This record gives sequence, structure tokens and C-alpha cells, in this order.
Amino acid sequence: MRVLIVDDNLELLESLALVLRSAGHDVDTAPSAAAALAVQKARPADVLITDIFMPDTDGLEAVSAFRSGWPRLKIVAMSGGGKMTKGNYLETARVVGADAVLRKPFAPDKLLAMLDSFRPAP
Amino acid sequence: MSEASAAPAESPSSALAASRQRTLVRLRAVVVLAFALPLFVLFGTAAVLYRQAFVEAGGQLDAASRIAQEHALKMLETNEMVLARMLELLGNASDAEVLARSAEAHEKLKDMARGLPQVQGLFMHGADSRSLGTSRVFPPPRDIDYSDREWYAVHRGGQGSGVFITEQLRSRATGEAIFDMSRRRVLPDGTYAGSVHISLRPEYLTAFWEEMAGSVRGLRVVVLRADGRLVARWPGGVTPGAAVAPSDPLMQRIAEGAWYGQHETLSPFDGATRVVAFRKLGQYPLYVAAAFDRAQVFAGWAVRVALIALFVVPLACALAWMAWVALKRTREELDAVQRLEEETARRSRTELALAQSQKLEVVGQLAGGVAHDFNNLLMIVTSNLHLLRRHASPDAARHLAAMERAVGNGTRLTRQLLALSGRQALAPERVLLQDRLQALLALVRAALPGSIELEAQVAPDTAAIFVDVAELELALINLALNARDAMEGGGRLVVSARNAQDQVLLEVADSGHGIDPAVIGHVLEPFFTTKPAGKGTGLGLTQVQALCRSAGGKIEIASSPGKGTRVRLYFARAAADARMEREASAGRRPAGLECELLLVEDNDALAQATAAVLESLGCRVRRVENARAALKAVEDRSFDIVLSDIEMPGRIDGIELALQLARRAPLLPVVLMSGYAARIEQARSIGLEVLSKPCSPTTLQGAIAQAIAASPKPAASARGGQ
Repeated sequence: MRVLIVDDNLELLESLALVLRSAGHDVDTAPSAAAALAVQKARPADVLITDIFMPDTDGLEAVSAFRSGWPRLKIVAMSGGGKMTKGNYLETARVVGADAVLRKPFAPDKLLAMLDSFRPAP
Repeated sequence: MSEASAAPAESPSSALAASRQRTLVRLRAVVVLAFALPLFVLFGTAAVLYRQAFVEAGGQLDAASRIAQEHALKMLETNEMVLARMLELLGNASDAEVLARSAEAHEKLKDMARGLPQVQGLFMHGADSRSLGTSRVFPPPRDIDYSDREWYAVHRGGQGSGVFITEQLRSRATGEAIFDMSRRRVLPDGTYAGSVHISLRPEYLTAFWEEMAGSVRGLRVVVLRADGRLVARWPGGVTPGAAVAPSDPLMQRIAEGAWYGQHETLSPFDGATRVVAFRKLGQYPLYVAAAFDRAQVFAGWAVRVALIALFVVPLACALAWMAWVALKRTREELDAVQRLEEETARRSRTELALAQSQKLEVVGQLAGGVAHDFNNLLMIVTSNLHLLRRHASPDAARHLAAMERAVGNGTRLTRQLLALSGRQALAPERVLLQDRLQALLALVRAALPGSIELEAQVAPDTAAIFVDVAELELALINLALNARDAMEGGGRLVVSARNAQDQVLLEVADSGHGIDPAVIGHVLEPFFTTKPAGKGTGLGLTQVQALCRSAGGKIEIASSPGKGTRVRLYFARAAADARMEREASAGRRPAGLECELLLVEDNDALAQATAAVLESLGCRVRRVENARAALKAVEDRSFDIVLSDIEMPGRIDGIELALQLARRAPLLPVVLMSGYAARIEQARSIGLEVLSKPCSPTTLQGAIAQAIAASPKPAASARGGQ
């Protein structure tokens, strides 16, 4: 599957990309929502995995933008908890369009299983 | 059993209360004294006046008796002189010689009687008791025999001093009241030759006494003989033959030979209590007695006391009333001071709590920031461990497992820190404990030693709850770890779930050593731990409490030393939430919120997302970008509710918008949203309804429904489709 991962933490971005690639996925990465939108336009992915809190864009806005742009895109929102504000980010992400949510840190196997579940039935 | 409580103990100022009590007691005493003191003075004055009235009356009585004595004595002495002149007139003449000159004698007696108002008549009697001449008639009435008279017997018998005074009599000739004073006539050879008499009018005495009585209240005077027979009496006169009984105190004093005296007695005439003063009239066997009625003196005293009371009693009442008013005012003022004190104490408690919450907010921000970054690091480690494991030898796999356990502990720690800060990334879902509890307890069982028995009981009808399963699992682990440390020698841990009124109760009870009552009030405080340094973070129960709060519930801890600890977690029932969620995700409109909503949000994407949620809840949404546009929109058409972000471009922010709307359209409910804690506090402090952003559809729905329900305005949507 083509997977696009968005996170402002580059090391984390790279580690997750390695995990997914090792499982046979075709992975693109982007350090921001803006970059991700550019990548998605150039090489549309099947699954978007995005952090909710990134410096330049609110992850919720990113989720909302991707959802309206690519209705069939599977979106996974992930969060390690609020840095500045309080609230139920993952729940909100679900409401604005995320198909699944993950709380950092999560077991890579869990993400891989989730991706498998997104595969269209043969 | 003692219940955990975070509320600070009430501490009323006991010193203030004591001082208040003292002041009130003093003022009450003043009220009593203000009434009692004038009355005490009144009673004292009355007692003094009472004594004085009788002493004064006694003195006046004494003076009156002396004056009466002098007056009577003078009269008697005058009589003596008249009697002496009458004897001189008779000389040693025989009865026949006297009778021969009776016309001349008559004229002389008349002359003598003239000018003596007390004298009724002058009489001369022979040895045979018959008249030898009188001042009243001529010739003398020789035919009348007086030998039956008392004086005749006394004079004839030669008894006494030669002077004899009768009791009061009736004149045989005229019938008027008289008394008679007579002297025996003896010839030089010692033979009895008769007697000379003066008939006296008692009015002469009584008229004088009457005059005297004008200055002595209730005065009565009597002249009596030593044998008790009455000579004159005022007021009331004398009934012929009247006498004072020998048993009367006066007669007893006279019998004792007293010349004067004063005593109290019952009147022998009318039974009234009288004070009596008596005096002997010189050498004569006569006494004058003056008396007054006690009742009359008492009445005089009573009138005076009543007059004083007429002034003093109202004065006492007025004083007491004034003191009572002062007491009342003081009590009111003291009450006000007490309320002020309580208010001050309450405020300082509130300020303390605020400072504490601000401190926690800062700690939370710090913890949240650290945890957020740390989670990213843990994620990197986890990912790379995952990659390494594929190629690891069995030996290396053991080391990797140790690292994975460390990551797991780190994960738990960061989640607790996030719970403390209220910044957890929660993913709540509908959970039926009947189905899920056993699975959730798998990790709990792994954390407990074999000596601890774990039992799970879920009532079959337990309602679903809406909770983040991972957080619930972490909460159970946290509670189990506390229980394990409390049951070092083994024990029993019971996890049970059931409905409790409109909530779901999840109870974790251990058979451990319990919590010290001294610290039970602190166990919910962040970083509070009873475990040795390095063994506990003090965040376990903080996480549990945060979980309960996020799921619409609360935590209660009951414990007593030696009897174990019982932690009760309350959760809101999830049924409605789950249905709403399903309906929202299915794109169907719940019947819940049929309303016209104005959304004020500058961020397009968020506005879109929020509008989608609101529409899924049944709202008809009109969105504007800023406050100015919102004010215009409200003027143009009517809305049921305004939902506005606080942070917005332009001069007017959400708070200012809400305040302006409150003035322009006071019935229109406004709900604000913000992601900034400080702004949320600011808005709440002035009474505005505000949600922290982002918030769940459930929270949004609740807040909007509540705001519309609280507003008296009829729904715009119900007004004919405006």
C-alpha cells in the first residue's frame, strides 16, 4: 500500500518509514501538513498517517483538508498528548474525518495490523 | 471508615466567636441592669419613705399629744382657780347663810362663768348634795337630790385629793354633753360641807383638737380617766358609759404607772390599727391619748411611691429598651463582622485553591510538554526495537525484551504525566464491562504476585460506559499496584462493576493494611506517595481520577487501617453517547438539536469540521469569520444560539462579542470556545459559557442543548421557519 507519513519529528518519521517499508509498504514522508498536501497531489497515497500537533499546521485542520480532498483516503491520526492545550484530540480527529487513531508510543505491530485491515478485500 | 476528602477543613475564628459572646453577655447584662437598677432605686426609695412616713407621723403624734396635754392642763388649772374662788365665796358660811345670799351668789357665779368658754355652768352643793346656787338658774333647784352622783360619794367619803372629775355625762337640765370637775368643801372643824362644781363642755377640747388635726394626718385624740372612762373623744364623740377595757395596752401602761408612752394597737372603738401616744395630765387622774391610723399613713406613703413610680417605671422601660436596641444593633454588627470574617476566610481558601490550581497548571504544561516530546522518543525507540527484533539472535532478543519493558514503563509514566496535565490523547469508546473486564485484567493479573487472589465480578445488567480502554487498563494497573503494596503477605483483590443510580460503579477492593487516616485526604494530590523513594511516582491515583473525570464520573476512596481499601470509580452511562456517535458517523441527523446556530470561527478548516459535527447533531449552521460579521448576522436574522471562538482577528474577540450580544440581544445564548486555558478562565470568571477546544461532539451537544434550554427565548426554528 502507498502510505504517507506526516510528523514534524524527523527521526520518528524516518523510524516509522523504516518499519513500514520493512513490512513491504510504499512509504512517503513529509515534515509538515503543507508538504504532505504537495506530496499527496503528486503521488496520491492510500493511507495517511499524521501527527495531530505540528508546528505550522493544526493536525486537525490537516485531517479535515485531506478528508475533503481525498474522500477515499484512509486517515490514521496519532498523538502523543497535548503540548499546549487540553482536550480530546484523538476523539476530535475521528469526528473531523480520521478512520483510526493511535496514541504515541504505539507498538509498530498495531499499526501494521491496522494497515492490513485497510487493504481492500480480494 | 473515613472517606478521602480534598476539601480543606472549616476553621471558624474561635477567638472572634468568644469575644462576640463576651460582648453579647455584657450587653445583655446592661439590658437587665437598665431595667433593674431604676426599679431597685424605686424600691429602696419606697422603703426609706415608708420608714420616714411612720417616723414623721410618730413625731407629729408625739407633738400633738404634747400640745393636747398642755391645752387640757391649762384648762384644768383655770378650773382649779375658779373652784378656789368659789370656795372663797362660800367661806365658812352654813348652808342656810349661803341660801340667804343666793341671789347675790348667783350673780357672782354668772360673772365668773362669763368669759370662760369651756364652762357650761358653775354649781355649789351642800352637804346634803342639794344645790346651794348655780350660775345657770335662780333660785337654786333645791328639790333635786344629787346624792346618787359618783362625785357625792367620793367627796362625802373623803376619798382622793379633794378634786374629782367625772366621765362624760349628759346634762340633766339641758341634755348636752358635759363633764364635771368638783372640789370638796370642808369646814375648819373638819366636817364635810358640800362641794363646788364646774360643768365643762367637751367641745372646748374637741374644737381645739380638730384645729390641730389639720396639720396631722388622721389624728384622733381622747381624754380618759385612769379607770378608762372617757371624758372627751374626737372624732366621733363619746357614747355615755364608754370605757377603754383594762386589757387594752394603753390601760395596762397606765396601770403600770407610766406618765407617757407610744405604742401600736388595735383600736377598741373601730378595730383599726393605730399608733397611740399618751400623756398624763399633771397630777390629775386623767390622760390624753393621741393616735393616727396606720392605714392612712400607709395610704399617704403609697400615693408618694406611686407618683415616683409613675416617673421611674417608664424611665426604666425606656432605658431597657434603649439598651435592647443597642444589643440588637451590636448583634447585627457582630453578625456582619462574622460574615465578613467567614467571607474573608472563604476567599483566602479560594485564593489558595486558585494558586494551587495555577501551580498545577504550570506543572501540567511542563509535564505535558515533556511527555509529548518523550512520547515521540519512545515511538522512535519502539519502532527501531521492532526492526531489530527481526534479525536478533535469541540472546539479543532477551535484551530487546528488557528494552521493550523499559519502553512500556516509560509509556505508562508519560501517560500519567499527561493525565496530571489534562492533556491526554484520549480515544474513548463504548465499553461493556461484562465483555471487556476479564481481558482488561490480564495485565493486572500479570502485575500481581501469586499470593494475591484476583476476583472479578460484573453485574450482568451493568450499563455501557464511554471510556478510553487503554486509560482504563492503566487505571486498573495503577490501583492493582497500590493494592499489591498494601498486601505484602498476600490477600485478595476484588474488582467489581454494577450500576449505581444513573452511573456505573467500578469498585476495586483489597484486603490490605489500609490507608493511614492522617494521609487519606492527600492521596489524590499529584506526586503524593507513601511508597519508598524511587518506588512510586505519586501519579497513579492522579491518572485514575483524571480518567473518571474524562468519563463524566468521580473517584471515592474509603479505607480504615487493617481493614483494606475500597476505591470506587464512577462513570457516566454511555448508552446515549454511543447511539449519538453511531448516528454521527452514519451521517444521520439525530432529533436532538433542531436549532438555528451562528458559528463564529476564523479558521476555515476547523469551521468546516465543526459545522459538520453541528449539522450531524441537527443544527442549521450559518458560519461567519469574525465578530463584526456576527453582530451584523444577528441583526439580519434571528438565531437560537451563537457558538464563537475566542481568538479571532479584528478588534473584537469572542469575549467582547459575547458581552456586546448580551447587551444587544440579551435572550440569545452564547457559547464560547478556546484552546487557551487563560482565556477560558477569563471568560468563565465573568460568567460566560465556555468550552475548551477541541471538544468532543458529546460535550458540544451537551453545552448547546443546555444553553438553549437555559434561555427563555423560544426557538427560532419553532417560529414558522424564519
